[in-house]
Amino acid sequence: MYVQTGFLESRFWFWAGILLSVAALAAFIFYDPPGGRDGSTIVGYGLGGLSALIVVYLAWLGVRKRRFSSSTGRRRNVVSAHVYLGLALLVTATLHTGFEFEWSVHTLGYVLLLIVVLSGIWGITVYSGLPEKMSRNLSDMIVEKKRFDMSELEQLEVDLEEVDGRLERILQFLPDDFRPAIRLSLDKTKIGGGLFSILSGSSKRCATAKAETQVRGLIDSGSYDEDVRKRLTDLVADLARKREVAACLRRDARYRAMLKIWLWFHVPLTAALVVTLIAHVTLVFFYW
Amino acid sequence: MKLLLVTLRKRAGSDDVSRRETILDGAEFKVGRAVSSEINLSDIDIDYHHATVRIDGGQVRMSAESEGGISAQSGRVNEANLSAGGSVAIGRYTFTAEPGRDGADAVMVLEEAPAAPVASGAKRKGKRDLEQVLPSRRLLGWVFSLAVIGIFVVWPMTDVLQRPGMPGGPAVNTSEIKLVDGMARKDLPKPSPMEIAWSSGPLSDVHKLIENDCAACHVSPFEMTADNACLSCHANTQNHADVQTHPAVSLDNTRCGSCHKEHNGGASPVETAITECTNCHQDIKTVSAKSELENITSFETQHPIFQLAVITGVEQDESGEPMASVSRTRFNPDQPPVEKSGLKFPHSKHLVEGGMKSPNGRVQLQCASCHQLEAGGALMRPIDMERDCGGCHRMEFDAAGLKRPLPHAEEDEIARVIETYFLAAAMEGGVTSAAAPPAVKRKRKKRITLEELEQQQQQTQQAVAQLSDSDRGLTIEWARKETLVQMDALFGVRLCGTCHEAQKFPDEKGEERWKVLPAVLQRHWMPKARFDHTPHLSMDCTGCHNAPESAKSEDVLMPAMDVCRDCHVDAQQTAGADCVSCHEYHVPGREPMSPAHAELYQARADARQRAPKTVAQK
Repeated sequence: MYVQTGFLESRFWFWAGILLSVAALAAFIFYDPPGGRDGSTIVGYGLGGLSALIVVYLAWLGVRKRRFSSSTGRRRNVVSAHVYLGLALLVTATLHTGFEFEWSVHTLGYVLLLIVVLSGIWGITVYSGLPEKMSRNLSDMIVEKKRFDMSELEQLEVDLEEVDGRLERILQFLPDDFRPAIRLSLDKTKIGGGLFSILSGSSKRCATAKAETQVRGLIDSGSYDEDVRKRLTDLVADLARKREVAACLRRDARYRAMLKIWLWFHVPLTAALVVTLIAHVTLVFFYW
Repeated sequence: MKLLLVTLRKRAGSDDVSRRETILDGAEFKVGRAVSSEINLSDIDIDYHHATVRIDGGQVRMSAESEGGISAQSGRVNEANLSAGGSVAIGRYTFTAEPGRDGADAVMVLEEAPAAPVASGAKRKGKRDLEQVLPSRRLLGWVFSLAVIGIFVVWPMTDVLQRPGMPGGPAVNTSEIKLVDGMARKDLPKPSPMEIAWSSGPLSDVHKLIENDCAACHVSPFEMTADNACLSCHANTQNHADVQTHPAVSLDNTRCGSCHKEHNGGASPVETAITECTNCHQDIKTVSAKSELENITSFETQHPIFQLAVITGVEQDESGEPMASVSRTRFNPDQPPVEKSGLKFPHSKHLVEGGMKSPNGRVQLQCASCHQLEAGGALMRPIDMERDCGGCHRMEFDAAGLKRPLPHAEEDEIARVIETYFLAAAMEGGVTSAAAPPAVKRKRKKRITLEELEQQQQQTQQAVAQLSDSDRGLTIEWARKETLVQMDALFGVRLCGTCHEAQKFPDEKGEERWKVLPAVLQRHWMPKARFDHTPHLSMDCTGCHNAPESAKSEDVLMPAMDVCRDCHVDAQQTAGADCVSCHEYHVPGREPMSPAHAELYQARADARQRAPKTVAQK
């Protein structure tokens, strides 16, 4: 837990965020100008300018974070700033709007900002829970770690390939009735695929699970001699193992995707947000 | 039977061929996937027992045992006899017969092609990373950013920049003001569709009409809305006070927009916060030492008592129009103001419970029986005698069983109608009054009725003229005297005298004539404030105007300020107590706000005079 959420630990940025929010709120409440509280009063300009600065700074942090390999401690501090200033943005930007929304480029900017911040919060949430789940998912599935230079994920892939080899060989001892099931498992067992199969991580339509059911049905309905029965026991065990490992790998792909999918909102919309902000500021003064 | 089986196996990705020779002994040899097969083909596509090989007279015969069959040159077959050099295939395995050697009855070469280069794992390697299935974030960022710029900036900007006053459009003189009559400006450039998305907030209700015409106010880029744009419609705006004596209120260097903030929605951009007024008015002397105004902090706590415009007397001006002298009087309940409107009207008598007598029987009058809102709803429409009083107070002269209508406020005409009656009566003759001269008492042949005589004045006059000199003098004298008697009754007591004061004045011939004294009803009791009856319509009239208990026409029925304060308290209450609820900042009757404005003011006035009346009235 500590490893994943260490970026939340900076006291300095935590209090900086709180202080900014409280100051913004106080300014908003105590300054009640004629014409009402909105973005065009002194406090409104202040809140707007502050929010824009934060957006640009955080966007720059995001770019810099990828460009430089800084030390862990510094990185953690930078992410802390990103998180707490980003949360403070919810307060400063919302107050800057004066709660006036309509179909305009200005409201568009606010909506983009909301999506960017909320997707960031989503990111924090997945980072605080998912990595632990991910590693438990993989390590629970490891039966025997054969090579220590291999990651658990690689180990499971090797396991699957070994199972596939056994499935192919075992057919030399089994009647043709079993071939379609094994063929199905060998050819049709898919992990991942399109966006939705990655995100769902579902094993409901797993080919190996179907193969297993078919094989069990054949075993129940036919009679086989001693040698074949022994082989069939091995076959069922292999199919079951393959089914479990495949399901585990699908979950892993799903977790991996969940850990990143928010970035497809956070990053492109940040670009759009910065552009919209520039348009917002320019247009507000273009039609002063 | 012995079969020499030569197995040639090619390794994938290499030209090396491994070779193995095996002697098989038996009557027949099974070919298949099964490990128990003599000729084992370990490929899952080969059937468990795919075929059987027999040797028949040096020839190798292969029979298919499964539906998979054998591929010969002629196609798929169930049985194949292979002489030396002949070959068949099962899957990726090729069988070629050779002449027997080394003690074997037959030789068969089994060539195994490498398995299809598909690793078993590769089949299930679907795309597992989002990077593989989604467009890159960088690309999306560019697409979104360019879309925003394109839709919200470039598209409208291409239109906007072409407009007069904009960098790409023709130059305009921004100090020039185009006067506009009515709100819709037809000379404005067409709004660009996405320009609406530039709006920083909804316009107030009063400006909704020009909501889509950004160019009506936003003329030059990066410049605050100039007064010229406001003045093109609002040229008649006047000052708040006399800037000669009170220079502090001169707003020469202040933009309209610095007080009237738009794009905040609401009813209008007029500022309602009382601090805007009390900033100066709570201590007016510090702003203007010469001011005679009282200090005001709020309507609730410190506000001058209402100064009513009370009519203290009515005269007639040179043209004969009534002219009221008005005195502004602070309302004091202990010494109520006295109004001298020239009219006698006790409200209590008219509103009496059970109704009052009328030509149509008893009628219960309501306030609204006489007082109706004028168009616009702010003030009551002026009382009109014929419409509002005439239903009961009928202007009639009743004699000889006939009712003759009399005009209101035309004393001479009334006298003429009555005199005509008496002359007609004289010409009809047979008058029994003792004072009547013999010519009038004399009975005549009734050729013409009294009614006809009255209607045909000329005939009456002719008849009078035909009398002898002495008779004529006496007759006219008699009619005049009788008329005066009737006039005395009508003006002094019965008809006019009910409501008006009337006096007799000698005319230029020295004859006495009745004259009703002028009367004026006050319509606007508080000229420095704006009162609108409409929002008060849910209240009883008598809640503010205590008419049922007012027995004298001198009573002023305006409410004391506390009555207003019952509802108009804190701004958070329903009625509110904003200064601008009752007062205007730009006071009508003052001079225009600034010199530049003054020219416009004049231009506007000229334009109004030139414009057709219907337009001007709008």
